[in-house]
Amino acid sequence: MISLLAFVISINSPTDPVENLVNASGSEAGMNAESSASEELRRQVRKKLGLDLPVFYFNVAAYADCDTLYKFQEKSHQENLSEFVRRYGNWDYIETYYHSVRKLAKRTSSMTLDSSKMTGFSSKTISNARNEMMLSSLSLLEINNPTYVQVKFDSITAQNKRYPFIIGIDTEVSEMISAYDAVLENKQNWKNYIPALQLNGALNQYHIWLFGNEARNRGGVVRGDFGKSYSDNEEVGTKMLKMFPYSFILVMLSIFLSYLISIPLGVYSAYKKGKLFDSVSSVIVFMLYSLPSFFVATLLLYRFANPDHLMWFPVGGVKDPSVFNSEWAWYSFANIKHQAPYFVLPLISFTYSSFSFTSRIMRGSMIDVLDQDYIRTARAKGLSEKKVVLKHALRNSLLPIITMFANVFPAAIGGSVILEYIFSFPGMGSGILVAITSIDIPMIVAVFTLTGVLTVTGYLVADILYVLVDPRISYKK
Amino acid sequence: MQKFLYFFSLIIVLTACVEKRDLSKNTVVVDLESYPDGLHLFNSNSGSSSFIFSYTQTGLVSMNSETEKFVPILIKELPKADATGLLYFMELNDKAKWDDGSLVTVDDLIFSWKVSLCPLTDNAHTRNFYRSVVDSVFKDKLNPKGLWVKVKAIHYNNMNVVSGVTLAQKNYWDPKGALNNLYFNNINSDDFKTNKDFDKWFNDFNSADNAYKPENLKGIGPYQITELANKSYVILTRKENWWGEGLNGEDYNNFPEKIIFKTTTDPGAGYLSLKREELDILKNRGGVWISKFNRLRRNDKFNENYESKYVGTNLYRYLGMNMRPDGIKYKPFFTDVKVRRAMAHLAPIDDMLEFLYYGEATRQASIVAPFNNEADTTLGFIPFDLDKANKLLDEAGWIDSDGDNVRDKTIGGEKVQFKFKLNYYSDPSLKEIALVLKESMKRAGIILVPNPLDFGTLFGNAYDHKFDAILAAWGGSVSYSDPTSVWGSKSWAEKGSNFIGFGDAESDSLIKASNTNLDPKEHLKAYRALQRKIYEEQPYIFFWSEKYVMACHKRFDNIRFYRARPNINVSGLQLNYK
Repeated sequence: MISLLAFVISINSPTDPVENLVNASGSEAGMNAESSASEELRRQVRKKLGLDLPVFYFNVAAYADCDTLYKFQEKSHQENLSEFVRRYGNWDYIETYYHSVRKLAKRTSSMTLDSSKMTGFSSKTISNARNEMMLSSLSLLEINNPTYVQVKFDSITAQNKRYPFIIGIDTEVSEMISAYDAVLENKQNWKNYIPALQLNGALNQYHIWLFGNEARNRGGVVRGDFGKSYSDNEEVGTKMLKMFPYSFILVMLSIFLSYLISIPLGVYSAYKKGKLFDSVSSVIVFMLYSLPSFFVATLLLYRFANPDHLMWFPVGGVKDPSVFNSEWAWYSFANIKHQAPYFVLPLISFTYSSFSFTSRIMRGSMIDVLDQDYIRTARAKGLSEKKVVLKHALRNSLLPIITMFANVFPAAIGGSVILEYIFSFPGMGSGILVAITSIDIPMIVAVFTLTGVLTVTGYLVADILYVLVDPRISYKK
Repeated sequence: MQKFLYFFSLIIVLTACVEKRDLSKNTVVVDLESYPDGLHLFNSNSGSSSFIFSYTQTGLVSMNSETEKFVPILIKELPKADATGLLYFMELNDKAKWDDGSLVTVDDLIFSWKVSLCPLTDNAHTRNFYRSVVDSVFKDKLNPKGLWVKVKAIHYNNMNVVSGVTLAQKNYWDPKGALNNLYFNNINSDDFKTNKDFDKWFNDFNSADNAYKPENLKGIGPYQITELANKSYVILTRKENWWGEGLNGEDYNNFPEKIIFKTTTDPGAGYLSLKREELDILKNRGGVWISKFNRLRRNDKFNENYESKYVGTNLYRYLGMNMRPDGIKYKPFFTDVKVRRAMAHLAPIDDMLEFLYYGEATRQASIVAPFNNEADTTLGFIPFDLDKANKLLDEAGWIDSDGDNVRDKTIGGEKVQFKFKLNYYSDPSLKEIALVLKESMKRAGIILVPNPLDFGTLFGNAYDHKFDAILAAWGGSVSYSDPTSVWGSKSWAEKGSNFIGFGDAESDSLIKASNTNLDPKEHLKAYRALQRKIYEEQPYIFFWSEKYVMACHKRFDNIRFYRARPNINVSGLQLNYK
């Protein structure tokens, strides 16, 4: 279900990935004046992305719909033809009309003008007439509104009559107009109301995306092949494997730090319910919660990584390439000592806002437990307050905290986009940011799919932890 | 609680032991704007990968950064065309050697051209460009070091193209000769025929391993890629016994032992990195970096440590006006040259340059940056002049007929208000420009509606001519840029980069003359005439060519900044640290 949802998102991307890939990669300013996408290039990219195949094993469409619309090169043409079918319902006639317009467009783009009939016309008029004719015929491939179509027909016919130097397109123009008239005269709108099931077989975009295809050099998502990134042509799985460990370590450390501070804080606040400590700690943690993380991150950088103040921590990244030795094992002391400072500021920025939430949950849970009869019994037995709270009450009040643990895995996949950007941290967050800005659909879909899978995994882990913490909970029938 | 606080204080103290960078090491750390899209010899084409390749690859020719003229490197002389202008000859010199000590051969060159042009290579962007120029490549019958490149048509830029091929060693990449039977007539055919051997070879060749595994990233340049760290940095190490060592000329310099290209995403972090002397070189940063850079340049410590400068680029920003809208959805606001010139008078370019760019950009009158040798510097800048704009708009028939403070005009029986959308890439610095223009236009009774879009939609609409006006930029190089794609009239009809519909027979003939005149004087005459025509027609409001911030640590001597890529002589920096 997750894979299907992810796939649906990928094919409904608001922009045409082919257009993005053929026109430019990177920033707007990087677009080169001499680059121009050709139809051939578009065709090649479409094939490479698998867009020349049907979307799914079957499609339930209207009887009027074309079953091979995906074979048309341009997305704008596909959309226009689809709307044409909605409007008139007669695909056979529409297809004939479409081909007649293409024929005219091809003819006008390569037409030779009759130089003997150019007398009296300025070179500007001649050039304009040729270009207008070309564009009008190309525009017809993308419009279906009868008023607009008629305006273009009138323009083409008028120019063809007005300029005697335009020769050799009469047949194409009349064929096109006749084909359009045939579309109007043979409306079959009823076909739009009859559903039709069409089977496409296994050679479809979804099947190849999920299970792969040897001929197209795809392994499929089930084998961990999410395809190649649009932005750098690297395997998405490989990219994620490089980024995930950093985000995962950051999230795990963050959770550890958050629990380490928040649980004692929550317990003590509950124990001192209504007292000064409870009020002050509440105010402090909520103040922290209200501070935006990008603001705190920048503030920390300018305070603790700035030679004008304190230069305790590095500015960004996860290692200094001029010092780091690539032969160090990841678990070696030298490696840990080198990389640890790089995690401190991101970790603080990532964690502080969770203190309020976690400590308040812990406080509430602990207050409930401290009101229980068995706590009163423990106190009546003469146990010390420390024993009552830490030994009898704490374990039972941890259940809500375990629920929160379920979010660790999806959080690691998502990373923190803003913080990773500020600290030049090579984790999933910065990877996702690049993927979104460059409309790298395979990467976005992979993140979406894995987030879904890991969310489910997280809840499973939380359910298992419930049993470990509270023996009263059992999943046996 | 106290124990916890002590524990955390201890951890923070322990981790706050940043190892200080050793500035006496002969390693240059270079800021990289964005991480490269891989480092595949043929398939990676981002600005960052090209920058890195300039130290790992050596070309047949190279542009001298000082003179901005090409000089031969791996060939004896610059390629020369024969009498037909369609055949270029070049002869390899006897100096260039691969890492295994073997000489560069004509077979290597032919192999490189085959890979560059073949449809099975994943280099769609460059391939289509090369295929439009190069027809075939063959050995000279008499000279074993000689090679001929046959081009499809005469063009002023042919020399750059035929000598611009990326060089790959045949014996390393294709030791079994799998591509020996791949011929140019097949490669260049619309009906390209492949077989299992070709497919397998190209599949292996295109694999990500050849873009990311340092041991596979072989080049003929002075440095070898030795480490690629995920989205963070790339390390190049100087080769021992490189063939060019000791030769005279900036292209043969390899002074630093290591070059580290490091990516910094956030301008604030970049600013601190410079203050901490963690970066030796900052280059090609613009936009939001300018204000940070200006602050640094006011800092004595920074000036003591760094040589810094703003360097002009060939990237110009413009507002393009749709001269040939469909008239149905997109109204003909800008079909009249008077309106377009009025728009130019309404753009407070000098003010924007001063306040948005802190004066660090160069005003530009037409399509070529003013400092470029080929620019027509006689063209004057159009000043901000509200009265003149109002007069021109009145003359063009755009008047406020109903007193609602918005100009209007009756077109085809329909009253049209002068209210248009300005499309631009969703970016804070562009938004500021759009808002300034909005205010300015309002004073003349024109409503400008800012319309930020994502990259794909912006240019998708532009190619389809579905826009009123567009705020964008074109990049270029110091050498001649063929104007056909952006200014040729056919490019508009074919939905090329001429979004706005500029062009007529006169401009087309000027473009043709500029492209096909191999005589530099005739070429320049036509090119400047084209610049003047575009200036007079004013299809764009030309804003400025942007400047980039550049800085280099003074622990190196021989610091030089250039307009031509790679903008700074990294391999020529000599350590002077004492």
